[in-house]
Amino acid sequence: MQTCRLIVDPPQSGAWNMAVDEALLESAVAGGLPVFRLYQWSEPTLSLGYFQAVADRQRHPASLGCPLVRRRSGGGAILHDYELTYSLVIPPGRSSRTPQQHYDLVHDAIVEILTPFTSGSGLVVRKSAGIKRSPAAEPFLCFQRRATGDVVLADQKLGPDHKIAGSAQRKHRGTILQHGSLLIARSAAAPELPGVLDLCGTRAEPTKFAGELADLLAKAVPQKGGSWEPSKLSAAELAQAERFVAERFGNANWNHCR
Amino acid sequence: MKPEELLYAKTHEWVALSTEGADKIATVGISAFAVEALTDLVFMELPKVGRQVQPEESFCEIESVKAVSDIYAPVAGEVIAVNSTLPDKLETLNHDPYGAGWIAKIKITDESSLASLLTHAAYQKQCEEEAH
Repeated sequence: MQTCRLIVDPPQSGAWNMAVDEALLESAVAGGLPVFRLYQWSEPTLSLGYFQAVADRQRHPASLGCPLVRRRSGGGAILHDYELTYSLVIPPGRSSRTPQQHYDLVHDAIVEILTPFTSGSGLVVRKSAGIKRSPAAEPFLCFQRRATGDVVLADQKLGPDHKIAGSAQRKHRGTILQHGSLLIARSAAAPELPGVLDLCGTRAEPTKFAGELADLLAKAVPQKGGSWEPSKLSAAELAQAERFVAERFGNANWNHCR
Repeated sequence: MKPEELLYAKTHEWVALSTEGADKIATVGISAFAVEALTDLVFMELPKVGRQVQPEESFCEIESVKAVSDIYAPVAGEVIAVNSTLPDKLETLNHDPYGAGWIAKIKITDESSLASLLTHAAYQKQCEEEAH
């Protein structure tokens, strides 16, 4: 049986979080094992999708005071605050799935673990059919977009739905880095986006609740032909992450490149 | 251009060779197989003219279904032209990947880099293996 790495990290900065994911991607390119990493954010941070322009953040005044980091994955901007974030790294030759199937792999697990929380709330957790728009017509924020398979909480009486989880990918030399976010609670820097706790009317401390969901999600995401084993970054991965902070994710020239 | 007459990188770029004076030029694009696998293209960033590239070096990036992928230089050389209208008309890659969907022209500086390219038949075999 092939062991796969499960890394659960404490809240850290946006630049460090993105740098660690990039280091794990490079590690997998060089022959490393699959990784499932779960983490949170030490301060509210706006991440841009790889192709988004920095100037577009003016479209979202509430988050203008937050630090900015550019992701290597696609999609729209995310205000990371009370959130559980994951990264899934799949080495070359370890997958015959399409991007959508990889999104579904994690999103199905999110639906599974959240279903018990919605009972009695009048809401149902399900995957969205998606809304197709031209790239120019897409909202700035990822959580105001609807891609096929995004996880939404919807009123059972067909009221409006609220996106609570979405994912995006970076493919590099046959390796896949998939990022995804699960909104736990509303942030003052993105007040238009309620999280799971707000929608379900559940009283809980968001960071603690995110930690509990992390444990559940680690058990619910399947690993074909293997098992997730607790792991930490190697010394080489830590050194590479530090380089990526300096060269990319903590570097204004790189973050503001478009 | 006919796909049967092109050379291919294992990473799904096609290469059409031509000569301009004493220079050997590689016109580069991505194969129909790659375009189909990417689906729903939304963004593309072309390389800069004048950039020196090496084989297997990422020189162009493309986004589809929220997935950002690299496009790799198939030969060693200098980028001397790019298809600057392509990022605004990405559907061209679906309609005409081997013609109007060309991405860049590279002036080859090291012809030994051509040795690792595949014939159409060998590339087709690789695609069949990847599809299974």
